[in-house]
Amino acid sequence: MSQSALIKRILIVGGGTAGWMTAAAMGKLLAPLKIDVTLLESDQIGTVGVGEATLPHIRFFNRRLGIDEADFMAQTAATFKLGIEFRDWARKGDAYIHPFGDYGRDIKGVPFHHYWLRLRQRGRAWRIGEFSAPVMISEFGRFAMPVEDERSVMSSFSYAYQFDAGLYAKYLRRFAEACGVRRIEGKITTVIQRGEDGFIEAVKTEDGRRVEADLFVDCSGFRGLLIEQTLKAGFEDWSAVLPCDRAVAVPCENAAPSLPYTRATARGAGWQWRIPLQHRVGNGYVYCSEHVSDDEAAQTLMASLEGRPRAEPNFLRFRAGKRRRQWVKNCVSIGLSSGFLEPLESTSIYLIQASVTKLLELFPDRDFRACDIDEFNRAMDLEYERIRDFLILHYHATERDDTPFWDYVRTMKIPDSLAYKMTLFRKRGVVVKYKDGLFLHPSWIAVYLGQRVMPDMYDPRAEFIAEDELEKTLSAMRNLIRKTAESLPDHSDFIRRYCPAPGTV
Amino acid sequence: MPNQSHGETRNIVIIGDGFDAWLSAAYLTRKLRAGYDIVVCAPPREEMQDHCAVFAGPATSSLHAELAVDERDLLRYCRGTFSLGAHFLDWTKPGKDYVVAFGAYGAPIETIAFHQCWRKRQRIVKGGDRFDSYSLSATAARAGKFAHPSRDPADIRSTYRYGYHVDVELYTDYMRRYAMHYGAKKAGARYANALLKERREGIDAVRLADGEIIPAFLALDCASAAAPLIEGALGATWTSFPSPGAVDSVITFAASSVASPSMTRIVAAKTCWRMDIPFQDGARCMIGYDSRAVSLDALAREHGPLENLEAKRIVRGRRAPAIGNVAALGESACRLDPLFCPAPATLIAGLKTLVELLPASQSGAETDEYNRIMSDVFERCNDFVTLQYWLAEQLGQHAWAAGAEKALSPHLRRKIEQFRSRGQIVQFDEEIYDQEMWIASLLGAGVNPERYDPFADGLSETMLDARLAALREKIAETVRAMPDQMIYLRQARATAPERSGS
Ligand SMILES: Cc1cc2nc3c(=O)[nH]c(=O)nc-3n(C[C@H](O)[C@H](O)[C@H](O)COP(=O)(O)OP(=O)(O)OC[C@H]3O[C@@H](n4cnc5c(N)ncnc54)[C@H](O)[C@@H]3O)c2cc1C
Repeated sequence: MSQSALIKRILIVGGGTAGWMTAAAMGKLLAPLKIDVTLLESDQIGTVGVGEATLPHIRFFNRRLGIDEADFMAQTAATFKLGIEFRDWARKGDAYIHPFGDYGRDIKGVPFHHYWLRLRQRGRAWRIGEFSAPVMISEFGRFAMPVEDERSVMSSFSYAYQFDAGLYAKYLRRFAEACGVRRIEGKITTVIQRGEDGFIEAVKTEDGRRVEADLFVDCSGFRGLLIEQTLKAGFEDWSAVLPCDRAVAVPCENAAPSLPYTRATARGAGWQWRIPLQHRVGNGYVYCSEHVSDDEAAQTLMASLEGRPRAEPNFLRFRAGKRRRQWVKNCVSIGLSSGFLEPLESTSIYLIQASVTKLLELFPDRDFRACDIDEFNRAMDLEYERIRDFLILHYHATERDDTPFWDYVRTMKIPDSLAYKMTLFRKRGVVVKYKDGLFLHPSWIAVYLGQRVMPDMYDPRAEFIAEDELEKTLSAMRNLIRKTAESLPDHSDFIRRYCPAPGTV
Repeated sequence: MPNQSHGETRNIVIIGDGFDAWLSAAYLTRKLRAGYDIVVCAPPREEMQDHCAVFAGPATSSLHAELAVDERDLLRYCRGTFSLGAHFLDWTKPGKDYVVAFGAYGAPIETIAFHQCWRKRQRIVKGGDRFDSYSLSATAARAGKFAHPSRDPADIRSTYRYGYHVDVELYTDYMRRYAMHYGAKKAGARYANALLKERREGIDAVRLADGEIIPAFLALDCASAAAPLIEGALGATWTSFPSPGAVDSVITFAASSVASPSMTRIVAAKTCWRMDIPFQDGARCMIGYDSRAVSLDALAREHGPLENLEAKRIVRGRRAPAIGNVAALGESACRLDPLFCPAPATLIAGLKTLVELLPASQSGAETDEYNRIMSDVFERCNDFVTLQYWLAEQLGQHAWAAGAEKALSPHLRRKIEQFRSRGQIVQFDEEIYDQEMWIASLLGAGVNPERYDPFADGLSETMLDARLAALREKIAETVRAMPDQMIYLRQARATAPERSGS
C-alpha cells in the first residue's frame, strides 16, 4: 500500500462461525503480510451454533484455504447437499427441489425452461425437476461428484455441505490456530474509542485485560457489540416483509440413511428445517411470534421429529434486516452482527464468506479511507438486498390462506425490486439478470415454478423447433438424466467410503 | 394460451436505411426465423450517415459468428481490416502512447490480478516497461499483425478478441444484401406515418407514402437522429448527456494509411482529437474539435487539405429506448460522442436484448425491462467515452477536453475513485466494455493507483521479475510468428481488388 500504513494487528471479536471463518481466512491469506490476527471470544456468552446448511460457494472458500475436502467432511460429520426441498409452500401437498444446477440445456440460445413451458402448454405433464440432474439424484438419494466435461449431464450441477456447526467451529479453530491466529478467552466489558475520531482503540475484558488493534472485525453475533452498541451503525428493519422473528432448534437421531439435501417444510406460522448429517439430523422451526407462541412452536417441532431428540429445544430470537453500514470507521461487521436473513436458503454462511472475501479485496490500511469503506458497504448492501428479495418470493408467491400468517405474507407489499421481476416472469417467463448477487437463473426458475408462478407464455423463439423434434429432444434429456441419476451410488454409501466421520462406521 | 398459433406471421417493421437499420434487419432475419417477416422501410427523408467509418469491437465479431457471416467475404467487400484495439498518442503527454486492446493484459499470478503485480513491480523498478507490452493483442496491433485467436485455452493466442475497421457505407450495403438474401424485404415506398394504438402505447401499423398499410407486431425506429417513430409518432423526449469537454463538431475525410492496419489510431492534437480508422487501402479520418475555438481553415493547415468538408455538430443524448411495441435502435435511441466509436456496441446490445424481450405478451413487461437494461447500457457506454475525455483533460490538459470532470456520472466517479485508490475496477450491471479495457485505458494513460493489492507483497520480487520477463518474451515471440495483417488478409483471400483509378 502507500504501502507503509499497513495494518499490523487485527482483532476478531467473537468465536462463532463468523469469527472462526474470518480467522481461518485471514490467518491463511494474510500470513505473507505478517499481520497479527487475534480472536477474542467468551465461553460465558457462547455462540448461536445452528448454521448447518451451506451453499456451493463454500467449496471455493475451502479451496482457497487449501482445505482437504474428505478430511473436512469427516471431521464435521458432513453430508453432501444438492439443493433444498420445499414442502407445502405454494399449496399444502406441494413439493419441489431448488437444486444447485441447471435445468436441461439451452437450445439455440433460448433458455431451456421456455421449451418445457411450450410442451407443458401442449399438455405434457413432465415436471421441470425431471430435467435437473441434482433434483433427480436427490430424489433417488444418490450422489457422485460432478465432472468437468461439459458434454456430460454430470457437469450440470454443483454441491454444498450439511455439517455439524459445533464441529465446524472446532475445525476452523484448529485450522486458524495452525495458521498462527492467537485466541484469547474473555468477556469484553468496555470498548475504548479514540477521542479525536471515535475509532476503536482497544477493548477491555472483564478480567481487566486491554487488547488493542488497528482493525476490529465484529463477529459478536446479534448484539453487534462494536458495530452497533459502540459505533451506532443503525439497523434497517426488514421484518415487514420477512416477519419470522424466532426459531426453536433441536437435533434428533437419524431415522433413515442421510439424504443429499436440506428440507424446508412450510408450517402454520413459518417453516421447519431438516438438515441430515452423518450422525444426526438438525431440526428447527422458524416462526413469527405474532402468530404462534414459543410453546406451540416447540410442540409442533417436537411432534414432527423422526428420531429421538438429542438435546433440549434451543430458542432463538432475531429480526430480519441489516446494519445500515456494515463497515464503520475501523470496524467491519461480519456474520450475525452485520444483519440477519432467515436460513430459508442457507445464505448466512455464504454472506460471511462474501464479507470476508470483499474485506480482503478492499483490505484497508491504517488511514481507513472512505472510498474503501463505501465500496464495501455498497457491495454488501447489494448482496443483502438481492437475497432478501429472493427469500420474500418464497413467502409471497403462495396460494395458502389457511392461517393469518400466510394471509399476511401473501398480501403484503413487496419491494419494487422484486415486484417487477415477478411480473416479467409471470407475463413472459423471462428471468431478470444481474451481475452481482447470489442467485442465478436456475434458482429463480426453480422457485418461481415451485411456487406456482407460472408464466402466461413462453419465449416466442421457442417455436422455432418442430414440436415432435422438441418432444424427442426433451424426452431423451429426461431419460438420460433419470438413468444417470439411478446409476449413481447411494449418498450414504458414498459418504461411508469418502469421508466417514469418526464413530459413524 | 397466449402464445401465437402456428402459421400466423408477424411483421417486424424497421424504419431506416442506414447502418442501424440494415444491421438490425440482418440480425433479426437470422435470429427470428419462422413466424416473422422483416420489412425495412426507408425513412421519410433521406438521412445523412453520421460516421463514415466504423471501428468495431469484439461485440461485432461475435455477432458475425452468430450470424455465420463470412468475414473474408465481408472484409473484401468493405475493404476492411481486423482490429485489435485503439492506439492513443499524445493523449496524456506529448510523445506518450498506449494501446487499449481487445483482450487480456497478462494473467493473474497466484490469484493476484496481473495489473496489481505489474504496479508493484513498477514501484520497485520505477517505471520501465509499458503495461501494454503484456497484452498479446496490443503488441500484435503495434506490429501491424493479425491472426485469428486460438480456441485452445492453454494457448496464449486464446487470450484476445478482435473487431473490425470498416467503411460504413460498404458495410451497410453488405448487411443489406445479407438481410435480403435471408428474407428481409424492402418496402415499396417510404414510411409516411404510423397508426397509433390507443393512448399512444405503441403502434398498430405503419402507412407508407404510397398509401400501403403494413401491420406491425414490432416496429424499430432505426432512422437515426430524425427518429420519426419513437419521437415523431410517439413523442419520446430527448435528454442530453452533459458534454465531456468542449468538442462540439466533427469532420471526416479520406486519409492515407496509418502505420498499422490492426488498430485505430487516436491522436490528441492541440486543437482537436483525430481518429484514423485504417482500411486495406488508406484510412478514414475523423477530427473532433471545438468549433468556437478553431476554424476549419486552421484545421486544414494542420491536417492537410480539407476541401469541401462539412462540419457536423456532435449531439449527445438519448431518448426512451422503447415505447410499447416500438423500440429505437442505434442513433435514434442514443447518440454518444463518436470518439472510440461506441455506436456499434450499443446497437448490438440493443438487438440482443430485444430478441430476448420481444413484446409478445402485450403486457408492457418486456418493454419495461428493455428500457431498464438499455438505459443502463447507454449510461455505461457514455461513461467509457467520457473517461477518455477525462483522461485528456486531467493528464493532457487539452483545451478541447476542458470540462470533462464536470460531466462524470456518479458511477464513473466511483469507478475512477476506486481505481485511483487501489487499482480496482468496479463493474455495474450492464457494462459493455470489460474490465481489461477500463484498466488498459487508465493504466495506459498513466493514472497510477495510489496503492496496489497488498497481497502482491507476498510475492517475491525475483519471482515476479522472472514471471514478467517470461511473459513479455512469450508475447514478443508469439507476435514475431504472426503474419502481417495485409499478408494474412491476402492469404485468406479477404483483400479487395485494386480500386480502379487509384
Ligand atoms: C435459527 C437459525 C438457523 C440458521 N441456519 C443456518 C443455516 O442453515 N445455514 C447458514 O448458513 N446459516 C444459518 N444460520 C446463521 C448462522 O448460524 C450464523 O450466520 C453463524 O452461526 C454465525 O454466527 P456468528 O458467528 O455471527 O455469531 P455467534 O454464533 O452468535 O457468535 C458470537 C460470538 O461473539 C462472542 N461474543 C459476544 N459478545 C461478546 C463479548 N462481550 N465478549 C467476548 N465475546 C463476545 C461470543 O462468545 C461468540 O463467540 C442460522 C441462524 C439461525 C438463528
